[in-house]
Amino acid sequence: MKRIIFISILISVSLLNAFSTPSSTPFAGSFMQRANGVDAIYWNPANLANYNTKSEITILPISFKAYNNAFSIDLYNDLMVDYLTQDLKDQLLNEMNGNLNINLEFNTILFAYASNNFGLSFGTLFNTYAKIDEQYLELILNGNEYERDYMFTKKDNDVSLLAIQDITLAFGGYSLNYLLPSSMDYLPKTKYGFSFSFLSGATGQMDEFRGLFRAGDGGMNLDQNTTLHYGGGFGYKAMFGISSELIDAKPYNLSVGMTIDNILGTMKNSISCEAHEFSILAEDVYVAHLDRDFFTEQDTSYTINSFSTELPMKYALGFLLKAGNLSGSLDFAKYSKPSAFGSDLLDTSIGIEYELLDMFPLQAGYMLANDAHPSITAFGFGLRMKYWDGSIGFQLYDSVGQSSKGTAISAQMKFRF
Amino acid sequence: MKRIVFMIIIASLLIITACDIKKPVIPSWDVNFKVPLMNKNYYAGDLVDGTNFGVDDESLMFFYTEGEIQGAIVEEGDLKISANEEGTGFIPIITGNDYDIFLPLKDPDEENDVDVVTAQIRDGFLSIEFEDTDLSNNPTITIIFAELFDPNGQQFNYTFSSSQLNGTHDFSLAGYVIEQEGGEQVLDNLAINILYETDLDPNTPDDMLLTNVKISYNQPLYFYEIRGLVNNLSIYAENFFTEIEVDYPDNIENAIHLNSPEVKFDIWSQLGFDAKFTAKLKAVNTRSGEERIVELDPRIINGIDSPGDSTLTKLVFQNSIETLMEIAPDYFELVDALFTLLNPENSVGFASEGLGYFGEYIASVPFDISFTADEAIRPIELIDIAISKSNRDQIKDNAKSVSFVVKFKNEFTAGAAVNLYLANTDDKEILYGDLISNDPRVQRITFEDNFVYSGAQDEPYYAELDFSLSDDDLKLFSENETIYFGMEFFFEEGNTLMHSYDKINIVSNLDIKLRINGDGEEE
Repeated sequence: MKRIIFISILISVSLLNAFSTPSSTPFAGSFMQRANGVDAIYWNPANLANYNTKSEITILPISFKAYNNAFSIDLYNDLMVDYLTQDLKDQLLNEMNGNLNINLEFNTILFAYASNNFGLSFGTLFNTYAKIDEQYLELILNGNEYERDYMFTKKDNDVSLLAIQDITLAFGGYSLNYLLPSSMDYLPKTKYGFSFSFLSGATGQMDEFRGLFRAGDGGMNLDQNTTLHYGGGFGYKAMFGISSELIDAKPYNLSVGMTIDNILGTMKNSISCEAHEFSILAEDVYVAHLDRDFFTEQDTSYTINSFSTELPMKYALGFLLKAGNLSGSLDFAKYSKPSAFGSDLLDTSIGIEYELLDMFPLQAGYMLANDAHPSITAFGFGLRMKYWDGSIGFQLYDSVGQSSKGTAISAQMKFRF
Repeated sequence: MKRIVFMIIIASLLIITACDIKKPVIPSWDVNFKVPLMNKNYYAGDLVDGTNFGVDDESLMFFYTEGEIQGAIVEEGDLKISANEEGTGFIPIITGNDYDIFLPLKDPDEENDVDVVTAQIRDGFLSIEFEDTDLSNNPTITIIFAELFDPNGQQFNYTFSSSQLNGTHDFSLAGYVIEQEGGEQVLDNLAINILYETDLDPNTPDDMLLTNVKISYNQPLYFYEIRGLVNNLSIYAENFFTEIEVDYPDNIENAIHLNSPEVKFDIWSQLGFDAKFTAKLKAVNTRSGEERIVELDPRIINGIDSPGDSTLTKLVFQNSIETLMEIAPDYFELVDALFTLLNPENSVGFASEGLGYFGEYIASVPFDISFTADEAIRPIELIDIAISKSNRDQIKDNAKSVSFVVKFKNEFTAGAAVNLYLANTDDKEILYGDLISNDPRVQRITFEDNFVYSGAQDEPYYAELDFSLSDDDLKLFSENETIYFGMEFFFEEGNTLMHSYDKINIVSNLDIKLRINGDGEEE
């Protein structure tokens, strides 16, 4: 029953706090200083009021991304043959850097509203990734080497599931200059903002993955141990952001923003918390003795105490330079530690936009690759009017065209009044 | 909203159609699995196994069998004195005379009778017969046995009244005891005192014939126990056989080298006589049908000194045992075990019914193995390999090649030619047979004349042999649920003895190349 509850939560809940929004897709995440209105609720509350109408709402913008670290369309096409030669198998294995890593993310905002200095959003994020060791695929494709130890660890074998729904209240667009003494009037015009998110959802993570396989004169040995835990619960976090216009000399405008997200962020999981342990052990097995029970298997689930999922602090810095209808942005973001939300490696992205005829924005972005993800090339286009704004965006992973190893697609629409 | 969705679809189609994506197919590919097949040490000691096999502290192999000596007891009727119908003969009882007479207990013609010093009678009757009695003076006759006592310890003393002085009177002697006060001599006769009285007493005139009396025992006297001498008493033990549960490898009979086999007997005696022990030992190799019998040298079993004791005599037989055991028997029998009681120098002993000899024996046969040339030594146990249907189907449909590697690590100080056999039958005659079976159901693969050189415990010889299976051979793996793997060794000729700790290690692994079928191969 608890499992059903858990799954129900997982599926129905929605989770999530996007921590990014579909609008950012065409810029490959270089979006901090571009976000305003409802987008600023998640990107930088300091920019909450940076739009030309009184209020803004968005309903069900969506983004979906799926990518891996090995398969591209080209490789896929190469592999869609009647017979896999050794060269093809080697080509596939060479594309893996120790593992096959698959990431899926779905992100939507059920409803968001911004008015002047206030914003309210109901968001949902579903994120999962799984890693499977390259050696497993090697065993499937090539078979085994005699007397070789195949060691499997959590580094290359992992799974994580995160489903979060958030209700976020944001306040921003306040002038920081008013708070400073007059002696600091030389500072550029700076605004600040903050938000609070109330979270609910479920998380499942792997605690341990340890395996050994060996076939040799000592027999066939298999020792595999896996431990997972999962549960649902509630949490909270806060974000603080500032934004400053360094240059404001039309047609040029340069702004910089900085945010600290996940302040005090934590998820306290106390609903249907369970751990699952699976182990299989076979020692010194020989074909000639397979009539005996040659392995022992243990599959155990048990209730665990409530546990907390810490939301690691996220630091982000963004620049935006506008020159008439053309704009360029540069963003840096980094988590304080790895988590289900991402690695702790620095993400660096750039974005450009050209507003054709003042109403057709053409957008592109690029995020540098790191050890956690491949490079992301993004583009998008839309229609931007005073009271209505809509766009779609695409991302391609690792490479563009046939060599891409994944894609993301998003669509969003906003109304202003 | 609909417009947005429409735009997304259009954009997605644009992107997707811009890519050249092949129709998904599952390709086929080749995979090579190397699977451990077996890893087994064949110790010299492992070539022989079973309940009755052991290795002593000095790694000397031996097999043994244990048996019991039972049923060797004095039976009812063994301790007896034959009937003496004549007894004292008729003795006229005439007044004026004293009568101290004797009833003979020993008949020289009865060689098997016991000689009694003391005895407890189990069964027997005393007959006292009167005739020609003169009843005119109402005589009475009293008969007293000096050495005969009833179960209450009362001396046999019976007075016959006048009316009883006719005919025969039988007295049961069951429970009576023959004893002699302070005497340790064998009783040749029982002493009898006969007294008489008449109405004329005390003035009975002499020379009056009162009656004629005869005392005898018309049936044998049987004794529970005696002190005395036994003559020619032979006590047989029951034949006792044991099965020697030793799993000899095939043909080991020609390879084992016996090392002073012996049979030890522990025999307990409960009788007060020394005895001569004779017996035969019979050994049978039921596998070959060979049978041998040896007769043990007669030995003396010591008697006990006091009733109720028992004494142990240990006997060790070595002569001829090697002849008996060299056939590697699996059946062993003690035959015609006989204890013949002795009276050396007519020493008085004692014996009781139900007592006798008991004990046990153990035949212990230390041996080494000295393989002789041209004799195939085969581990008794075949290795059976079960192959599931799915695996059989995989092999049938997908196996491109199967080979296996056999690695030998030989610590035996003799080299050997090794033959390997794979077959779908565990019938060793077929598996190892020289002739190819005409039965089409029999499938067999042989790999012969692979030589492994001699090694040593501290310097093993390593050999690695590769065997490939042909397409026809693969049918053995794809058409049978179980296949059997057998080996035979032809060791080099030599006098080298192998100890139990010497071994040959055999490791084997399968090397299977499989074609994993994709969509192209599926029907």
